[in-house]
Amino acid sequence: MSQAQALRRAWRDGAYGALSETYLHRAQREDALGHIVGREAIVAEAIAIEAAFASLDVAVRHDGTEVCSIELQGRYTGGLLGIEGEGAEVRLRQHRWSRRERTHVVEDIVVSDHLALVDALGASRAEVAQAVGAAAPTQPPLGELRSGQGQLAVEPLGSGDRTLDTLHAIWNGRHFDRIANIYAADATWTGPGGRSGGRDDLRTWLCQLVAQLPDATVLIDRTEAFDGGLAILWRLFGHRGGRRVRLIGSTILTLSDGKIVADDTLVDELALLATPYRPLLTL
Amino acid sequence: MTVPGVDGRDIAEILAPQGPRRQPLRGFDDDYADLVDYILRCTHRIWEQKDIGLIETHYGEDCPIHLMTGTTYGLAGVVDGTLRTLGGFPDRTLVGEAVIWSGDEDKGYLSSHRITSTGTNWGGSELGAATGRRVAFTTIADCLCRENRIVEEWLVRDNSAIVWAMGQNPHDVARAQAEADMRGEPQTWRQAKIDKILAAARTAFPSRSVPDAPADPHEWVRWFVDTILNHRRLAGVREAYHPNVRVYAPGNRRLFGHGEAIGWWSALLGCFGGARVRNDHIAVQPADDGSLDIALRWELAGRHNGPALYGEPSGRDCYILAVTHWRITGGRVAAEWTVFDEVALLRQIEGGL
Repeated sequence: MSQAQALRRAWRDGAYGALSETYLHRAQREDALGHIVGREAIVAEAIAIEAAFASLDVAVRHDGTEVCSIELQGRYTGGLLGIEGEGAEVRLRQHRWSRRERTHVVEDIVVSDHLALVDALGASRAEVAQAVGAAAPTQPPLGELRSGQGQLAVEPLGSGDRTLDTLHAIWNGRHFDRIANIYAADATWTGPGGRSGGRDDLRTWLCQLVAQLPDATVLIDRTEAFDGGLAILWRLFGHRGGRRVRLIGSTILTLSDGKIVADDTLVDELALLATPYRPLLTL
Repeated sequence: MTVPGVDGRDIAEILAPQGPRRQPLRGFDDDYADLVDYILRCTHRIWEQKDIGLIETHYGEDCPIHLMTGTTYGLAGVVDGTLRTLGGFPDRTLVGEAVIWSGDEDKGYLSSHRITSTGTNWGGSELGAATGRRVAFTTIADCLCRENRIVEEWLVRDNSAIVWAMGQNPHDVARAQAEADMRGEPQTWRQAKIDKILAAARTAFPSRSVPDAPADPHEWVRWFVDTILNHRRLAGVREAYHPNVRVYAPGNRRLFGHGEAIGWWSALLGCFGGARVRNDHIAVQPADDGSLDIALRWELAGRHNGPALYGEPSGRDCYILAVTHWRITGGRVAAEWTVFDEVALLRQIEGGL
């Protein structure tokens, strides 16, 4: 059973025992604002998500070996992000990356479109970001974003995968003109914060991101190639207002004839807004 | 016969009776199948089942326990220490993440046991009054085991992670401990250790080329300590580590990539002018998926004259006892865990110990 199927069974049918059995006892779950330790804590969090919705349903958009893309839908009754609920019909997109040892999950990385949820509920982005940030202290930053490069321009990735190498050039080298090299003219892009559109909308979002984080640097965490596509788990680092931003992003690409025809990208922009409010653990 | 590690094994499988011996274990209790089994199951029995008295049959009478705060002797101290810790965190779970071992039944087995602990701070502890908060922290226990007994132990615990989780500042805790130290008798053991580490002859300027870790992991470790740390050739990290490396450092730091990995080591070294690092012990074990696990126990000595991590320079000579674990995949570091007690370090900086 895939993680997507296990989650759907849990949220639809209450099969939390079965969900628990997909994890090792020592599994950990990470998102942009922290991590939780242990299978019991992970399952408790899944139950808390169900508790926040009435009539929760789960649509599975992609169900790979390591990554799944799901969309939770339901009437929100409260309990997530400190936001009260009055029964509004909402959706929450997530990408979930799972790493297994033998047959069991030992690590989950979850990327959620929390900002779209905040907006859909009519909550204040600033207030939610402040509350979420204040509850997630972090260590001061260490090191540089582009290790050892100094004044040199961004080096090619050299992965051997044309799509990945070109994406690196686009994201890190700011070669936005190369979007046309790998995205089909009619490619669809679904981004964070409820955004969607085509190549031009992707470029607009990249520009907005760099405007917020002029030194934005994307590091590839891992990839999963699948029949007809490529999924990429990545880390975004940058600085804003004197604070280091550290985010986790996920992109699931559908490829056809060597070109991207669909791009499903998520990064938790609420975590970006929360960064200034995160207490620094300074000795 | 293969000694199974921790990877891919659920706790039910780990704690179930393991069947016949998989490894020579002269003098060990009959129900232990191998050293990993011994370490994981006696940890569970003592700490989680609360069979604390089992320490009497699992520790040597005069067992030295080496901490960054000094060495204690005797199993009575081990019993007391266990009870005190459980008094502070009665629901502590000790999740074995890795047991990297070396040795044999004649010389003794040395295990390096990396543990993720969780617990609720229901009672007072050496780190402060009860807070009711949940904590999670990493400990590495290096144990020399002979005939069912731990006859020597080196224990490193991420105490600053605990203190932060308790909502306190490790520096405040350390300051209070240092003030108590300064009211007592001065200690000489620490300076003796520092002097010994700093007196070691400096090696010639090393090549940066990375030894083949799978082929000769001991040489790789020696290269890492000598070249990367002692000769500060931190650029070598980019060759020795995967670009997506995960680095776990004290204070529950979770770092990613070359930049942060180098940032951590350079910040640490930059705090202690002239810092020298010494290898104490290396252990290597293959992992199930073809990776390699390496454990290094090490010590650092240096003068606190840099402000990057631990506040205003104090000018005091400092000593660190630490353990680092590496997971080597495809010849490069995929993950690194370093554990030492930052509260004990700050205690030295504040004039204690």
